[in-house]
Amino acid sequence: VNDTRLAHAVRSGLAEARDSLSTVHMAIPASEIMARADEARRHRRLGVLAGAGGLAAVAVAASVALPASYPTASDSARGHGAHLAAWTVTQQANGNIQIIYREIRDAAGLQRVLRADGVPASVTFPGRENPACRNLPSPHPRWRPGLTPAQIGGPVYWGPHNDTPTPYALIIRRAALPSGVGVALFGSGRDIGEPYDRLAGVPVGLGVNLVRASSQCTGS
Amino acid sequence: VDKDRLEFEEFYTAARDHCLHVVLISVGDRHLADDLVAEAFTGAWASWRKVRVHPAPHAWIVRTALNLHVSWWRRRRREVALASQDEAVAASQYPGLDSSLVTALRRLPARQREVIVLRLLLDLDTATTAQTLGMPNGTVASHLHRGLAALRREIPALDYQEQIK
Repeated sequence: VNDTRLAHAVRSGLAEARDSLSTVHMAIPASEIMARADEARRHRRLGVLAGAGGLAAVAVAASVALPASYPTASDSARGHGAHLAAWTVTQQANGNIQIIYREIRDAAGLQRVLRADGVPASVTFPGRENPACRNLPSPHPRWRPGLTPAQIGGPVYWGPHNDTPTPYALIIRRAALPSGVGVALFGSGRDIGEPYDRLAGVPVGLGVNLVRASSQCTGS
Repeated sequence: VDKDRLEFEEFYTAARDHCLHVVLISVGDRHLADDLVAEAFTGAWASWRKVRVHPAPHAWIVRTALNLHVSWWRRRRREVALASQDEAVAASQYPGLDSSLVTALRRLPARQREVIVLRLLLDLDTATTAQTLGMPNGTVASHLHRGLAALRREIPALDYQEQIK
């Protein structure tokens, strides 16, 4: 059996394997791929700026102020048949933690991820709040066009996310969390599709309070 | 730029599943394949002016995916899927990934595996495979010969099947 005939057998066998994967689809929308690349390009530019001019402080400030640090996706994930996630936690370049959510499921998993990212956090569902948690005054600043995270000022705020139809994003500014203060999230488990007023509305589905950090409430 | 975006989106939509399947066969791990292909497409968009004129952009994706680190997408995966999609994933079976041929393919040295994937799975000719992998045509032929020989040693039934046909 020469290489040509063997190659034919291998080609057939691999084609069978490939055909068996016809139900497997790439879930990430093109907009997210491009946003990721654009974000990486911006960060490289900032890095070059800092390196060339010794302007590290300027670069850091710019990265905090850039509204474009948010995903710039504009396509509908659902419209592209995307594999939607109930929630996604992303550590941003400026150290902020962004929670994009469509539905709050697996509260324990979300809590675990947030704690692993250094956020003293408690995540529960309504009616199941952790009795060990002690709420603190918790103003919830809302993002408006033109406001930067620094101008919003609070440690937790609702931010924009253009990955429609799920424009829900909660941003936790770790650096702005005072010592001994944690975050308690209350997920309602409501599905996507709720109306959302980006200018005035706090999105439904997730409540948040600042709480006194403790091992019983926030894990640390 | 808008034209580039549309062009890239068309390419991504048309090629993503095909690339994912090929990479999945090569690495055998669904999540890893997802991450690798996503990162490769990210690189393609970052270098779109170059990739769009490549003779086989989808091969560029596969080759890049198989050579990538995927730390960013791994971090991104710290999420939980919606219930219906959990079920969909759990219900999916990929029997083809467990075939002796695919298993043997994954055991090959990287270059031999890449050549076999590009030549036999993507059906590229030798010249395009050589250009994609950055090696001379003769080296492609050599890797293909060695890879096939290794597969023949691993799976003697391949010879038998071919003789039957």
